[in-house]
Amino acid sequence: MKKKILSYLGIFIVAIFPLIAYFMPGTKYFLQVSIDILMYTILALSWDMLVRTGQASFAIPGFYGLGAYVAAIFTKTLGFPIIFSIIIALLISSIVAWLLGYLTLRLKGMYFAIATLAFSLILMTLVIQLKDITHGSEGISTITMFAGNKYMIYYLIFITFVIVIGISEYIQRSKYWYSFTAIRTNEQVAKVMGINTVRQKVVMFVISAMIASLIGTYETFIAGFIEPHSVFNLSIGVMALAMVIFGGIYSTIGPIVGAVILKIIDEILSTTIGLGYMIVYGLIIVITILYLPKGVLGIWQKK
Amino acid sequence: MNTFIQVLVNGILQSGTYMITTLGLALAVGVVGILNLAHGEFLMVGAFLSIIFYTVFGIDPLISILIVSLLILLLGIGTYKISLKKVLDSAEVNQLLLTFGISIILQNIAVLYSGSKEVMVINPPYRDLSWNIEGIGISFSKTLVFIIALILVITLFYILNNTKVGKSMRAVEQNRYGAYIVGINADRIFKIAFGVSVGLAGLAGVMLSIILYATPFIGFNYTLKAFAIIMMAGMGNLRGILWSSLILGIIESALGTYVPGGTGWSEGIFFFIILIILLVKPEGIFKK
Repeated sequence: MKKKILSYLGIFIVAIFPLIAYFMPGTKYFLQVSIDILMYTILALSWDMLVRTGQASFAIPGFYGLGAYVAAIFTKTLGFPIIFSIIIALLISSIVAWLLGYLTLRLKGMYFAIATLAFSLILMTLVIQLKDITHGSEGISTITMFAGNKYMIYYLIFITFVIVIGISEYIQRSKYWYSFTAIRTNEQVAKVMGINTVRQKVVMFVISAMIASLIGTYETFIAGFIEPHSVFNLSIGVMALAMVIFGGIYSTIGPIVGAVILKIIDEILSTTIGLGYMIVYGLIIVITILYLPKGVLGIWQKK
Repeated sequence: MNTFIQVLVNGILQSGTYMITTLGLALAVGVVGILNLAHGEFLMVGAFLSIIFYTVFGIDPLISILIVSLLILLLGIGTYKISLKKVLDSAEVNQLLLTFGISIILQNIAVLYSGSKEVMVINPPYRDLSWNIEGIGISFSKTLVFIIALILVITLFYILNNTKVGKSMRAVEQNRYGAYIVGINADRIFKIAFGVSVGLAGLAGVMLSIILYATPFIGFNYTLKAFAIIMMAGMGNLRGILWSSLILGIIESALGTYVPGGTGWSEGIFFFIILIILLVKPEGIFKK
């Protein structure tokens, strides 16, 4: 009961945050940072949901970039409205994810990680090389959504955030929690128990890919400009993964806590230290793996 | 015809770079089963040290290579003792993430060191030396890399098959507890294998500093390519690494020559091949 109240309180605070920020100095900056935090929270959650089936994917940058580029091309080159571009981006990503999932999800551990990494890098090469469609490494500039109104953007992402939390919690509380755990710990046993392991993993992969791709389309319409090296940046995947590990893996609240803390640290360090601040990420990942196998959430739960 | 031979020569020499970068990782991943995503960063540190030795102390890379390899080997053993040792028994993903963390740390130490100097290059006198045989250009430094790579592969192959330490490494990979029972100190073997593995990465870094350039961010790409070659060759298959490197080297050189804008495609095609191999024949395409 206490937990429930706490989580509603958390969501409520996130919901009214822009109103608080409105009365503070430097509003624009805080709002932009909180938009970033929410976007990373969603990416981290999408990675965590997939890793619950035991598959550590490096396809986040691939789908993020795919979403960003499809959305940009459809609005800029073909003149589609933003909402249709986003829907098309999601459709294309889900088809690609479905195919890729069927092909790669029987691979385990490192093999799967490398295959998904290869996917992200192949997409980046395609985008850089197919200059006629994508403008190559120059990037594409598009329109921004809500004419750049940060409050509207914040609430759009907030709604997405709530939906993604809903999906994540549904998985945690339904029979899928049991089947995912079974697949993760011993796939053979899971199969014997009658779980269609391939289908469950593919469905999860598609959902996770669509979420990453959706965030990619948001990035396009928030920034109004994208280029291959920034949207297919592997560090997007790394950060999402670090947030999950740091916060607490296989949970809904863990990735959220991780994303909020790390993104705030990130924001402070990148303005104070500047170059090389990512070293802190490395240290956090190493320390968490060695000493906090359940993340910061683990410390809290022990008490 | 001449172009074709030139393409072949360049491809073969290019494969030397692949061999030398992959060899160390193959020892860690394929032989003793440690997944090291920081391999390329150890290589990068090797390249940085080589450049520092050359620019600050005026020591030629071909001389500093021994000191640098040894330093990186010690760095590797230290890393093993502090961190890797603790995750060997846990899930595979933990090894991946831990070494990923280490790679970010090393990368950013380099960023903090090099600061705004973006690309570091050194020019030892033999850097641009090349022979011209009947119109075919053969670069001296690349040939050197190729020969050293070949010697290292053969030496490692010999050590693994014929010495006690090598056989222990293979035993530990096959069955750690079985190895304990027959009296092999598995911890020591892991330590040696990992140390030598990253030592080789450092050595590769020094060699690459002669023919290429260094930035703090070169490492990850080498790790990826090395992993890719290992998968293509098959786990623990050192001979397969020779062939995979040759094939990829020649494909890359042919792309650069025959396809307009081809070098831009080479990375994509590289990973496309890897993806296909993973899907069709994940155990590698070469017989052991």
